[in-house]
Amino acid sequence: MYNLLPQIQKDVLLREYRTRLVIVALFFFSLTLTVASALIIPAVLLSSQREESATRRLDALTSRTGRGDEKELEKILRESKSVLALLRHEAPKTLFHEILMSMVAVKTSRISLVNFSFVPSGEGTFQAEVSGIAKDRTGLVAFVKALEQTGFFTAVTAPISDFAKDAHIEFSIHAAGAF
Amino acid sequence: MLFVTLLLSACYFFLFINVKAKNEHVSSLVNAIETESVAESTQRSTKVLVAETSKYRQKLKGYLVGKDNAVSFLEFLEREGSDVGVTVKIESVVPSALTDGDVEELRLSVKASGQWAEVVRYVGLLELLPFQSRLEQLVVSTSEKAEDGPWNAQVVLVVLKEK
Repeated sequence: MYNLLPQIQKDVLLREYRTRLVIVALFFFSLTLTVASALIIPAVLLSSQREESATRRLDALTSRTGRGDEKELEKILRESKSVLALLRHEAPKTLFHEILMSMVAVKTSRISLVNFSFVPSGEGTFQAEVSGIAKDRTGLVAFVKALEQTGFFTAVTAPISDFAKDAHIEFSIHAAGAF
Repeated sequence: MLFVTLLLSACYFFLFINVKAKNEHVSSLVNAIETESVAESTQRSTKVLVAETSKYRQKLKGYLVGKDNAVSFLEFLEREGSDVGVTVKIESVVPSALTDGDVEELRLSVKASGQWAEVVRYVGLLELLPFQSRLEQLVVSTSEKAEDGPWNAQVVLVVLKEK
């Protein structure tokens, strides 16, 4: 191939060619940006709509859930729960007045009762003390056995010292039971 | 051409950033809506629960001596005594706080005097009071010197009261 053009003209031609190339490239880039911008506009509109609708929904929800009201409701339920926890859930198995009546019912005429005492001794248990005067030992023994048979007590004890005298015995019987 | 390209680039960049920001905002709003929906659902179920348990809560309150009813409760105890024929004396009333804020315990020392049957019946009434109560101590004794009757019951009664 013959090289007919001088070097200076060749350089000019090359520069013009590169310029045209850049212009064409910029044109296509601009075209791409124009198309991309046109295509992104629906996305912009859609995003705006979604944002508006989400904001409206959140406002509606926030206005429905009044925070003060919720706290008040929770307080009511919490108070009820604490009262429930304080209440006894089972009826007592033993009532003191029933024990008193049964004690009097099982005593014979040889026993006079003068004092009854009931004190809770722990979770669901109580200690009882019954004092009185027995005419004789037999009467006292019978009374202790009768107390055991009432079913109210888990243990009935009469101190041996109570049996020292054989008549007009001042006694004090201790018993334990469960509520 | 270069200026037009730069302008278009700026325009596209602006639109892109705008969409991105809006999407992020929408995403945070959706999260907030979910949280709020859960809160609303919880609140709705709490409201339903409160409405459904209304009568039970009233009943529950009935087991406590009312906030301003301490005096009428004491009068009730005395009246019950006179109804069954015993002389009732309230010797002391000591309030004591419980761990739960709105309820307290009233510790009453009650003395009832009268005939055996009446005293026992009164003790029974105290045990079966329509309130959350318990007898913490009971001493029944006889004394010939007693003015109001041959039998005395000394009772420590503990009852729950609204603060």
